[in-house]
Amino acid sequence: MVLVKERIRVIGLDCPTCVYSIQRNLGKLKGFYNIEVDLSSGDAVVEYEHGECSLKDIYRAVRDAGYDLLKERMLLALHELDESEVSTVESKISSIAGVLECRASPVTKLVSITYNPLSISGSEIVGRVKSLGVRIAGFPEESLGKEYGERSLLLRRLSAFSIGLFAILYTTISMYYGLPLHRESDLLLLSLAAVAVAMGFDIIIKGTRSLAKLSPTMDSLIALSVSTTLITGIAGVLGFIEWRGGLHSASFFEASAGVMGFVGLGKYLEERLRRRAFRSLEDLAKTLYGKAKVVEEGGVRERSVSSILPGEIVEIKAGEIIPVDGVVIEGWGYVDESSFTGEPIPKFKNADSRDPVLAGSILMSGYLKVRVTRASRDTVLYHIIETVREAQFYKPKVMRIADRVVGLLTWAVIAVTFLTLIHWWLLVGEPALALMFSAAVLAVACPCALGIAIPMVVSIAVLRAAKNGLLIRRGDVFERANEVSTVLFDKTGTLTAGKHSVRNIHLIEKSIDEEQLLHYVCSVESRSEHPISKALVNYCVERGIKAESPSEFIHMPGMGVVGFINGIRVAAGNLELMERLNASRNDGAIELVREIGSNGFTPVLIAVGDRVLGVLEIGDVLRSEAKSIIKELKIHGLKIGVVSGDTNASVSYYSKILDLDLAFSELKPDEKAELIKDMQDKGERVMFVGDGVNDAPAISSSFIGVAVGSGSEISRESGDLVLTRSRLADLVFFLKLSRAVKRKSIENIAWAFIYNAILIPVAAGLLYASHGVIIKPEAAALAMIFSDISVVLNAMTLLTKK
Amino acid sequence: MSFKVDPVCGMQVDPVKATYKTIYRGEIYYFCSKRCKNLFEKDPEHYLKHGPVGMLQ
Repeated sequence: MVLVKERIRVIGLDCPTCVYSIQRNLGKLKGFYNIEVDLSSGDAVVEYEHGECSLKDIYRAVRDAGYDLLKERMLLALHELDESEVSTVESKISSIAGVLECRASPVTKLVSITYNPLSISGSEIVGRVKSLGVRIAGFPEESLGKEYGERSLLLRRLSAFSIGLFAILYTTISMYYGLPLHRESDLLLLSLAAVAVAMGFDIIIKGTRSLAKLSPTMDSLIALSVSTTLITGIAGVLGFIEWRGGLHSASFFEASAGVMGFVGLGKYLEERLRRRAFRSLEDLAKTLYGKAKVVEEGGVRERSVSSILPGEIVEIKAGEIIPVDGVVIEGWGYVDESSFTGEPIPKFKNADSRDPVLAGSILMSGYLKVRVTRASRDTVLYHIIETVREAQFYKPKVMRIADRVVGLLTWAVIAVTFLTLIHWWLLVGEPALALMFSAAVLAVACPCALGIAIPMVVSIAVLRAAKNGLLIRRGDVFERANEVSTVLFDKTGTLTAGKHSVRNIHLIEKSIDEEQLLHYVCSVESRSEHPISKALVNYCVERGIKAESPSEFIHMPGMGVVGFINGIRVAAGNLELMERLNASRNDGAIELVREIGSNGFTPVLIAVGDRVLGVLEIGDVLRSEAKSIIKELKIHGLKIGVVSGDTNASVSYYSKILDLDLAFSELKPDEKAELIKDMQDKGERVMFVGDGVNDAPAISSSFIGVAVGSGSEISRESGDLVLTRSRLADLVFFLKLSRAVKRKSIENIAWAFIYNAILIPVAAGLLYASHGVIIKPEAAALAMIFSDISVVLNAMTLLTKK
Repeated sequence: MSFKVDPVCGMQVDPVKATYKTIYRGEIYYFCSKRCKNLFEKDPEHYLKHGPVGMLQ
């Protein structure tokens, strides 16, 4: 029994209650002893029994309690990561002390490691990973978009392919014309086979190495198949094997050359296809690690983008990619933003209207000087790239099972090969046929397709979504979207355009005039971020009313704001706020509130001191698309509702004209969250669509939280999904895309499974006795490559989905 | 700005940073956590009369 002490830092602690709930959760863990927490910093020391309990369990328990641990994430690019190696690599790296989570993606050959920086450093992890026998190719942040000597590889693959093809044609033609296969042709084919195998030697070495480590991969199967046929052929030439039934050494040499040629080129093409899908994004990513022209005192200087700080000024000329997020302060130009919006027509950006630009968009013509608002890791582009990367590591339950199956499948194939060999050689007494069948089984088996079936689909879908203005924050939203039963919308800014205007100002008491009232309102609202507050402040600016800064400011979510102006308490908000503040209000005011609401508008009561002096009538317009979107969602069989902080009268007005199934009014942000939790406890799966900043609690407690983004604020917003173009129509596209993702995943998995289940037995000679069917190893290899590539192509059709 | 006292558990709370607050009878109260806020809203008079009870459990 070894007691381990480790330092961690808990995030989100704000009072002793939190510590209790964490302790309660940890107490349930087996082998856990003690935790001591410093409340102010969150620093903690945990004690647990090594072997019984691990940091991973503690991490999970803390997360379950609703808190988080300080953690860091690193990405490693591996030289080789086969579908069948994924689970081995993951479990090896997870076993390093201090590592909290490890996920590997066979699609990009990247490994994402989450670790506790207080117990292990990044460089220590790299050292440990190396010592586990995993070969690291680089650290993707720096090596993005690097070319790996592709041209010479292509040449090698192509020549191996042509040699294989030539060998096959040569033997087929000779047999067709009944030419006897002489010793000379044996030797010719042997040399062809030898050259082909030499060209694909990297595959053979990789395969043999992983076989030696007892974790066989796709390549091991190929290596076994090729060496079996080659050695059999040579044995034949040397006279060790007595040929019968039309088989010759030549047929075996032909098989090894064919398998090598087909597999080599096929794998190469598949790899290229996979990479091409991500190429556009990787190209954009380069801009974040490239150089930019910074305008400094004394001239323009080229500097690396990562050194640029917000507030600096960057110069962009026509044809260049904009390297930062920022605002145009000089010049004008047409900017291609299709990477973010899918909109092919360049947008006009102008210094006069201080237009925002995003890193990764291209200045088609013109000249811009841009003041930087965000650079490198804070940019919208970086967030999109991160999500696409994250999605590649995403594994639904099916995938976890598939991963394990792939590992087992390779062993199963080897076992089947042995059985085939034993059956045909020992029981039937056909050694040559036995070897031919065995080589075919090895070449036909295709565990790869199973391994990339889902991750490939999900990554492509994330990419497709990004082009349509959907920023996906977690890979499982597609899976979840198909289970949603109810969609709840926030009203203000989501169903409505969020363009508020002051329609009317009602003075309740004559002791104050409009100007004075507005002065108070706008001063107290000036510190709030609520859309209505912003509208009020704008209104004052338009009317030329000056606002001052409140000496004290309190924002009461879902009720309004309270502040002190020149020592006088000013409140702007709903009836509940006035009640709680004990502000006196007469019947006239209450009647006004009801009337304003029943017309679909929002009343804002204003109290100065302890009296309600006026009511502002705030109007908003329904989004033009809202009606048609809701109709379309209903066709999908979803229940649609609205949850709002607005008055009952106003909400029921909108609920009626939109024909909604559910309507909830007068809810504060955390009450919305609770309502959603209640509904979910009753078995509903709720998708909540709202403003990413003000509705954060509701978004995070729903089954899928959708933030209607305002474009420039993406990094601040919560939500599993962000509508970056702030268009509700994109939501319908998302649901359709999710369905397509499900369909494609099932198709891919089913295809890969059926393929193996049918072709492996046939290759083993199951139909030989009855129907005389033989799958030659080279034909088997062709089938395998075809199956592999078809899975990738099937996933890629999502890119063109409308 | 000075710290305010959480009327439920007695902790010092920074009003500028506090996420949990409520208004009762015209006064603003700040809380360290959602739990304290919920307890207060269930029975505000109890806490105002008896003062903070400290950590429960």
